[in-house]
Amino acid sequence: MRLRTGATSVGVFSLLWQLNEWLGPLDPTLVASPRLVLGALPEVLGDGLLSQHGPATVYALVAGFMPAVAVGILIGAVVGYSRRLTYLFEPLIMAFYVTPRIAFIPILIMWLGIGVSSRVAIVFLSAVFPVLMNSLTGVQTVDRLWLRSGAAFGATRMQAIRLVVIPGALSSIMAGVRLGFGRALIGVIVAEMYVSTAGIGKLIRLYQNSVRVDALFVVITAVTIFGLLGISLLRRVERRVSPWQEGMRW
Amino acid sequence: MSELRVENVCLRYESPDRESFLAVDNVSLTVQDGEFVAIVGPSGCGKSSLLFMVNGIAKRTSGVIRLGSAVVAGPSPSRALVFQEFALLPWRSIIRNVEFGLELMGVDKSRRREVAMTNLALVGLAQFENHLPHQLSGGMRQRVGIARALSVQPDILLMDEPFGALDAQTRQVMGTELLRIWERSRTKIIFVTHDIDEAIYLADRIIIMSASPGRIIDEIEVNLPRPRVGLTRSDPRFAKLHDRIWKVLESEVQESLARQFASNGK
Repeated sequence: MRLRTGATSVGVFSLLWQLNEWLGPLDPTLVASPRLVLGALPEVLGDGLLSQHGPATVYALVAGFMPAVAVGILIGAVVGYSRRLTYLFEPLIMAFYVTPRIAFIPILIMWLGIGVSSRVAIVFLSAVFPVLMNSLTGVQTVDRLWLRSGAAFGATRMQAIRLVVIPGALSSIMAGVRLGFGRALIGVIVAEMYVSTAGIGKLIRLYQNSVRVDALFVVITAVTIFGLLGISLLRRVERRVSPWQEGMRW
Repeated sequence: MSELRVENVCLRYESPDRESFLAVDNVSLTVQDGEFVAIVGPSGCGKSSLLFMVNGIAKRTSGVIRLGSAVVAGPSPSRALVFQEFALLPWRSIIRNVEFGLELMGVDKSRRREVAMTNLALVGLAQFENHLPHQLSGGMRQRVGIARALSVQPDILLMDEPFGALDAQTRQVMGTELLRIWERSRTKIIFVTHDIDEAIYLADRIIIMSASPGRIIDEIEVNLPRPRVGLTRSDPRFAKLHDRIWKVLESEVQESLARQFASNGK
């Protein structure tokens, strides 16, 4: 039911897009159409361009995103658990959170060069703050009763964080992880478009230079599919680690 | 062996922008080994605060609390709490909730599973080990809370209105169940409640606290034989005790209510 309803919007959108090529007011070489995009598919895949540039992007994404998740959760939990640390760091974290991290790309390139390390760094910076912010908020809103039950049985601070605070804040943390993944994807593509030797962003620039709207849509759709896969994988992980969210809160 | 002695304990809440508030006023009491002590008092009289100070999650302002020869300096599983709101961790299975205290104590995995299973069986929930808390009824959840507290083999069990969130019938059953469990282990218990009947049914001794600030105003031995299963409210000895306690408590409850009205009116 849900799937069928959802498919309708995608279907109607594709249809209108296709109709434009046959009847429409817009120039098909500029807006392409599903038919033209499908036509470009063998070329983009066949030239091996996607398989040549894709792995570089995936590598930078994974290498930056994984540590961002770990660091974001840990710092968010530790800072959020202590009122004093929250007062101390919240303004700084907030400042980084609202600053578009892609604005740091030029600086990172000056520091780390145009190679993969600056892209990993931008992915890390893009993802870490959403994860951190959501962990922080999640930890601050953990039910006091859970904390009290830990405290009453003599939990140390690290035990409380590991066994009560992080699991208790997990749904909020995972929302941050999903958000961070989206930001990381933006970060890596923009960084590759800005200046790069390889990657999907680089490929986008190549097709831009030859005004290949149809091929660009193939690349964009590939990124979309990759993003969707990533999000659904994260949702699966979430269900795995917190099955209790499926039911009532407690 | 290790009686609990509470000596001249006060709890005062200090606040920079409000008048400080005396919650517990110079309370002294003793709980012997194997004894079941109930504390009754009007709501807001500081009886739960007293319990939290014995556990250690609340810090007393003055006075001393001793368990055996050791002075209470902070929370410890040896003074295990059972919460009114159960306070189970919703993401943990029932068995892992029961293991929680042992895990904090650093007991290794196979040993804590074994101890937890024993105690889960004791409260009659062995077949629910892999359920999650939200799948259980309130009464069952509190059994899990009790099993969790028993698993750490505490010197004293501190029960903070443990059946307060349950309906009247479940309360009744849980009381009988608690006595059955207690007869086995004879761990000493402080049981906080505002239900006089519950206190009479369960306890060896009932301590009556005043309206806030909480002081001890009377102490009554419950000279009813055990086991008390089947004992009813219509039993003349039961009714007599109830009347006696209510006589002491009534004016305190009224005072507590009057104060609540006054503070609401402000």
